[in-house]
Amino acid sequence: MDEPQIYGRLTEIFHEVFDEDSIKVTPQLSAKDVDGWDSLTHIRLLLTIEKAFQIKFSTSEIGKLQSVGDLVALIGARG
Amino acid sequence: MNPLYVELQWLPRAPQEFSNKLRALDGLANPPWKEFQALASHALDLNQLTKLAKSIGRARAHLNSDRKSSNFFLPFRLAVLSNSTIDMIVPALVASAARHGILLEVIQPVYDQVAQEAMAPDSMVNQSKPDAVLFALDYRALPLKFSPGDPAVSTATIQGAIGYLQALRNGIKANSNAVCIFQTFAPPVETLFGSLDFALPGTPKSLIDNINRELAEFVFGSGDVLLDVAGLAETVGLAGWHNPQLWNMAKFSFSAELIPLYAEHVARTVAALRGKSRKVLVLDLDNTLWGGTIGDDGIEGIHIAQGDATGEAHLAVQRFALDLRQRGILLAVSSKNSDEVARAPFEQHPEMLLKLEHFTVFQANWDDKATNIQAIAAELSLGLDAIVFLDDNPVERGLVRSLLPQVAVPELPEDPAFFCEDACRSRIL
Repeated sequence: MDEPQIYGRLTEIFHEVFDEDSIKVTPQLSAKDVDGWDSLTHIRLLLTIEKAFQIKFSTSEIGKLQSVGDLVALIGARG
Repeated sequence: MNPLYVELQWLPRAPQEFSNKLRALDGLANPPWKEFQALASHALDLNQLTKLAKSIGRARAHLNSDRKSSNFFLPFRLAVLSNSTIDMIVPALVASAARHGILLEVIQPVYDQVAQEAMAPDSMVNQSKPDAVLFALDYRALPLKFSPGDPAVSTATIQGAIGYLQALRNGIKANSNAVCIFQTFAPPVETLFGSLDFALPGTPKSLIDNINRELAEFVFGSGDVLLDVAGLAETVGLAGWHNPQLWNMAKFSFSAELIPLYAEHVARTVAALRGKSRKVLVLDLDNTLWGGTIGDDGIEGIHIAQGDATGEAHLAVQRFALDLRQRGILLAVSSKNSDEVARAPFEQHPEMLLKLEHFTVFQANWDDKATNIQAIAAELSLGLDAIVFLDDNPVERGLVRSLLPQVAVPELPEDPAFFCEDACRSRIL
């Protein structure tokens, strides 16, 4: 999957998880920018992403995520 | 893990437009309980359950000013006490309860205050006077001391654990007198001695096994309710049930993937406590109770014989129906055949397990099935929510679901070999 495809899929996922179609998924997007993006929604988001892309994140990978850009890099690296 | 359980495959798939349908229900003057139940009656994932719960919550907030609209759902206040993080489970409970016609209010105290909440008279839980308290505890909540090979210490540990649970129960009974729902414990996957863990006293597996046994006895004896989570975990597979990563990160008791399944089981328990258990199994005939169609294939052509793979599958469905009848469930037939043709296999085919006398109502005609099911309900003086309808034909299923959303219509797979597993283990009844 190339980056535009990943961003496209992630946009669908963000809209689904946050129930908010206005969210713009950019590399800089992080928890402080989205209403309701607390630690639990974060877990639901990661679980949804893991299922959608058929991948699993390790605990340390999850710990290092700061923004959507980091997430996309992680997904891209999985091939 | 078996997708039948993870994806709740006995429920129809959620509509593509689920989010939009839900949004259309927001802010309506009259809370759309029937539509909420219809939406809830699909297989929903965590995101969908969360959204539905929010919508139900918003509708419920308007209720205090208009009590009339709550007549469609039965209200139930459930307090949930846990040693784990249940924040993601709570919305799933609310949405799953809607599936069963229950308007669920969840009392969720501060994290990991189980003993305090159960035993203090002025605790949030006791003050809220819940209808039931769910002790959503996992094995980590128990005071377990591992003593492999030491029966004396092992016995003391088991008694200690049961004593703890009884103290929790006593606290609730003394203060709010709510029904107590206790869960059996799913043991950890890891063993210290391999197979010997099962045989040796004092190992985690052996301790938890014994605790579950004693818990079952004490709950049955006390008139409270048991939720067999250990059985559920065993069904989907212990290795899939547990998720060490999620425990470490957020103190989730079990894999989040199984929250929809767990919530469904809690919802069934709550519905049963409100008397909402299904009482009638309405059966289609052709390709459900036998392979083939009696009208076209005749007595010789239908498959029910033992030793015939298709016949075996349908016989299993008949056996299941008979077992349910033993349990007190009423059997009825709704078939698109003339009455005479439909009765023929029961009267003449030697391999049929089910006989005409097993059925309380027998509707074989050319009316649509929704009309027939309503007639069956009327004849038995029961509500539509007492009925489960089994039909191999997806068109018939869809029709009944859309016209009579209160009737439970399990989704069935193409292959009758799995009818029993799918329909039976969906435990609709």
